[in-house]
Amino acid sequence: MSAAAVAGSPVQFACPVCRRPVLDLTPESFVRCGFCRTELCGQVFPALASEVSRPVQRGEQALEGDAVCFFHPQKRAEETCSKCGRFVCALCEMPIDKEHFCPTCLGSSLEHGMLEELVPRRIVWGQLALLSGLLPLITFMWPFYIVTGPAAVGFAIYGWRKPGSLVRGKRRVAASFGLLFGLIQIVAFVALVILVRQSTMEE
Amino acid sequence: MSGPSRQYEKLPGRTSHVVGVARLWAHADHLLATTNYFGIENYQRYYFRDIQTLLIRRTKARMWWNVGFGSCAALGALVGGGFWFASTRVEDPSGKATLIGFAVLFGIGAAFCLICMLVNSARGATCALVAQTAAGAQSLPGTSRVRAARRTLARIAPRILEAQTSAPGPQAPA
Repeated sequence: MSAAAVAGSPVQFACPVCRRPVLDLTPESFVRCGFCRTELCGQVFPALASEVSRPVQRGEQALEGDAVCFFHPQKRAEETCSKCGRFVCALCEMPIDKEHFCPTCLGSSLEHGMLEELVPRRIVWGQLALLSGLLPLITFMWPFYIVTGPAAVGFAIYGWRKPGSLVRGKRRVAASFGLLFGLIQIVAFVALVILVRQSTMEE
Repeated sequence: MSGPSRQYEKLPGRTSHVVGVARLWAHADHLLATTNYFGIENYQRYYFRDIQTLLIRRTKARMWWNVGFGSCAALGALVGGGFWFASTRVEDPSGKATLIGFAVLFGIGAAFCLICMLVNSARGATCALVAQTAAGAQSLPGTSRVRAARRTLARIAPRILEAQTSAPGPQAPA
């Protein structure tokens, strides 16, 4: 347990630097840790005090006539899975937002990225297209246009229907500009190649 | 639909890196820390019911940045001044122009560092916002200034309290 919560005494919390207990935390003013002199302020929440007394969820034994857990037939069912409808006990029930999932559905949802609450990473294709389209143009890295231009167009088209950022959405405006800048790069590269070939032929 | 399917509220402050940006967002029941590196967005969730303490820990980053910027500004001014002084002692017009050019170049560099130092000072003290849960203490990305951290704390503390007082108790993380 990282934070020490002592029953019957003021709630202590551990200094994040030296791990020793500190008292009198307020959100208004900074206090110094007595050991490492780190300046801290902030707020303690009820979860710290309730951590010690929190019971471990094991699931209750089923009695005669009780609905039982799909995975543990000896345990009483507490919830039904929001996806498959299986009965699950307190041990198997996985609450996410306002829904409850069984371990199997949770695992498959995580695997397929279906639950936004569990998505660990997303590629924001619109932003990727914009960066690939714009950065080589503003830095005038024309030898790379042949790579970055088609890449920007590809990212914009490929990512058009893909799920976007959790917080900013698909960023289709950025994707559109990425597409435009990518096309400009391709045209600029072709024009440069034609110009160079013409000048060498004239010589 | 091009917008996000879930509603997240942007919290004050952001941390910029060379190729990415880190931010904090609030949802109805959790904090979402996002770090975006060149179009790849990583997410970390901190559920309100699990947060035991939110700490603002002062750091010395502002001081060290100021030391860096100040040193560069002083060095630039010194070298620029040296070139300027040397230009007053050179008779050859082309040599003089070159030395003055170098002096101006170093002067601009020194002024840029000085502006960076002033902006860094004006943005306020630096800090780390630390969320402590039963799994340990973790620095939340996206909040590196005390002012922004205080505003973030003021906005999310009531929600955390509400989540923890209305719920029967912290539940196992999903």
